[in-house]
Amino acid sequence: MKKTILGLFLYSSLLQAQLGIGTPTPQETFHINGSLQVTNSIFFGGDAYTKGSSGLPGQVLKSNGPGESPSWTELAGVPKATGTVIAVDGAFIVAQEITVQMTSDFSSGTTNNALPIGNLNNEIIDNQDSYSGNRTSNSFEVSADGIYQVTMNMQLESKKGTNPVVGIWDDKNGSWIACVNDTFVAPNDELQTYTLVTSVKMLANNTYSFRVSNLNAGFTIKHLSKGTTGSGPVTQICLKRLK
Amino acid sequence: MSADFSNGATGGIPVVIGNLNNVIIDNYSAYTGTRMSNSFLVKSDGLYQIKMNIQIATDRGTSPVIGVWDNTIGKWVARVNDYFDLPWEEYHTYTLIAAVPLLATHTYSFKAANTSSFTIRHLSSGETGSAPISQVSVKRVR
Repeated sequence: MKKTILGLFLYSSLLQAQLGIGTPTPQETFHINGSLQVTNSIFFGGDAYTKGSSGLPGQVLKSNGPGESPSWTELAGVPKATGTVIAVDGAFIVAQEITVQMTSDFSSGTTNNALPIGNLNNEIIDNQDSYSGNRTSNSFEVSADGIYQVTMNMQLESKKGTNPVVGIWDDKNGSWIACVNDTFVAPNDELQTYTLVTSVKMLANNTYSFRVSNLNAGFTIKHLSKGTTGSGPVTQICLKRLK
Repeated sequence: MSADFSNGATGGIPVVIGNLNNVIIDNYSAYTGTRMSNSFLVKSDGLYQIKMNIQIATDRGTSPVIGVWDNTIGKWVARVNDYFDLPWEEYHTYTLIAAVPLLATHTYSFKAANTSSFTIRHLSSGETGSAPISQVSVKRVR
């Protein structure tokens, strides 16, 4: 029997340089027409003088195309950070996300300048630790150039007929990159919600801040909507990378 | 919504929003909505993002309130109460976006209140077509 197998092996090797098990017509150098059980490592790569690799725990096998040895690699699509997974340039990443609410109202008089919004320091999500906010200011950076979705929902109290502006300010260039400036139609001391939903390009080497201005009247950004039957947060800002 | 919801003046006591029964997503089967009522549970204690975009018609000079009501303690946990400064036939969209802690042992409802009668709109309609205009969602953040 051994002689027969050896004979088949030599015949296959010499005439076709291919070995088939369970097949008379091997399609590759070694072809098994059936299942394969492996109880120890499988090595890929290497050459006549160096051993291939059996990979690291948790790695998966990736094809490198025809004529190339497969290789062990980290499993794509399992990022470790918390957040929404997006695909950018063929790679899965966790989108940078900042969601913040206020810890108390923020008020100012008439201002010619766009002021950083204070008290915006209840951090709901800041998955890349890039945001800082305190009683009088706030700022953040983005970790990569990209398009970011901005959602600002802010309840204001101001003077009827004026146009408060809320949005995102590019601190480096000193200008708005996204803002909303509806006319305040409610009477003085009443409330109106400003909503901004847009997408903007942001750069990793800039610093940004959430700001507000009103050239013609003082204003208050409300922290809570409250009445005799309870209260809840009413102002929130969210920034999230799209691509 | 599956139809408009109208109610008389409620004073400070909110009413449950009815007709909020076109369920788009309810992946834990935790929501029930009928012509007259709605309520939901959360499966775990956590921080939840509330989004409500509700188009309202009511009397000029009132401040309708919409939000999420904790039925277990009888209080709002999230709400918005902008001033309504339009004639009755006109509409104002109220938007609430907020993250609040919700508890698995409590029951919640989407509610509304006003000192005048009000209508929450199901569709935005015109000569050139119509489409749904009011939507609410609750999504766990962490």
